[in-house]
Amino acid sequence: MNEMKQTCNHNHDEITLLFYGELDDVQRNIVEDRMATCDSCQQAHDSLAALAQIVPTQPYMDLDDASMEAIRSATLRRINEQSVAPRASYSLIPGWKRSAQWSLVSAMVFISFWAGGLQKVTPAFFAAPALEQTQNVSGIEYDEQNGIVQISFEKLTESSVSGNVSDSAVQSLLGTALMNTENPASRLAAARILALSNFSKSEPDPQLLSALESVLVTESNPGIRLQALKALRTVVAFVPLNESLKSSLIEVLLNDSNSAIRIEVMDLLTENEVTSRDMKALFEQAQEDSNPLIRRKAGLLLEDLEPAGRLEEIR
Amino acid sequence: MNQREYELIQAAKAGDNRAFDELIRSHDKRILQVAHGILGNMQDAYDAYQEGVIRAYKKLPSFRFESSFSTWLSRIVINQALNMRKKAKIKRFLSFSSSKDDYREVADTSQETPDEIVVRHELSSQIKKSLDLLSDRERAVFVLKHMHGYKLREIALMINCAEGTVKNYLFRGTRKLRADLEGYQSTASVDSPPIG
Repeated sequence: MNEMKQTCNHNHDEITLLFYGELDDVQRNIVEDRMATCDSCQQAHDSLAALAQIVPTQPYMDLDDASMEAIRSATLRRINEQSVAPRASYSLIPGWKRSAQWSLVSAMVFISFWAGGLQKVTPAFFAAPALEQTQNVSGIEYDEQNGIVQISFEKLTESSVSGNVSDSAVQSLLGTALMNTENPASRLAAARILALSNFSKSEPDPQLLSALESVLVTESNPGIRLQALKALRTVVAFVPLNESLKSSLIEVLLNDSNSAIRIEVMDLLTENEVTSRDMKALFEQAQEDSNPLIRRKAGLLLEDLEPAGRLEEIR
Repeated sequence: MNQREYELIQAAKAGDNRAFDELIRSHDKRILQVAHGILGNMQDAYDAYQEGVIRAYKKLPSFRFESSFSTWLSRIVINQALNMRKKAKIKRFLSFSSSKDDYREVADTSQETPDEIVVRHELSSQIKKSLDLLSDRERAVFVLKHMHGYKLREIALMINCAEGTVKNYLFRGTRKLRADLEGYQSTASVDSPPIG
């Protein structure tokens, strides 16, 4: 960029105002006249023009109508909850005073402990009652270092559950949140957490695999579909691709409108050695893709398939 | 302000949630984009937007038509976004800012060669780093002026400070960006990348 030291005594801030259309006609004429005779001022203007070429002058985030509508309805729902019915606090026994309810709970815990019935509280214990509430997920946070997921709900009272992402109940909950929650930001967070997860310690929950597969074909938001695919890549590193999932991926590769997603599918298929005779037709079709990167990858895979020996049927 | 908007505001003030919904609809996408520009990621932008809109709903009875509804709503959401940036206590376990933004990742690349994709991603990442060098208010002013084209006097109302102060934020912000992005001019021939 033409960012250079100022070699004149003119006020370059006025050039910024000129560039952004903030000068009136008289001031604009003065500054333009000055630029015509002063190289340093002209270069300052050119530098701003170069900045505008690099940093977009349009908002860089765009949401499709469906996502925008989902965001609106989630917001309006919160407003309606607040204005029509003030958020009620959860009552164990309606009509009892809070202190009496706490006394009852304490007594129950004591009796359970005394009777040896107090079990270790696991994430699954927390996750089970929460599954039905996944449409009301208000936020998902992830402590990547410790693998702990915290999922917050809006129902009766603000509540949350937390557990290690390697726990199958937590995975199942994330999968359900990914499919059902109305808040697109929470769906995105669920997909991203799964994409960042390490499944080397425990095998991924089977429900999670089907949830991810479902999201690939039903989710309207391309950002969430892409994250779901990344999650799938981490999952299938530990479990083999089944036929159903393979056909869903093929459907996405051939039909998804977003080329970044098609590229991701291509990578997933090739990483998992799904290069067999029955895939040859698919790669031939992919050679017709509008995206040059996909065409190139498909061409290389076809070359790889030909005589070298990876041309076996999947058994 | 047109008559329809005036009527909607009055109806919403009287407790008509549908009127409030209709009122918000004409501004919400732009406001979400502004929040995204200030915060740099979709998750936080959504939080700022939702909290801001709910706050606007609660404060609507005190709206006295001293500014346009759009400016008033923007000010609330921008304040929310700036507070979110400021508050270190907000736990961002899931850091979107340290990785690529989701909407940037899915930008349609069908017309690009692989080389162009790589260049675009690199440039995009550099712009994001450069924007992070700006103070919160410099960034907010830059986003509102450079990307949304607001007048400086409107921005002054939105971020609640004097127009002269807004100018200074703009001057400082553009100077920092020009210095930090020096050398990237040649790569700008690739279409300006979406950034986060």
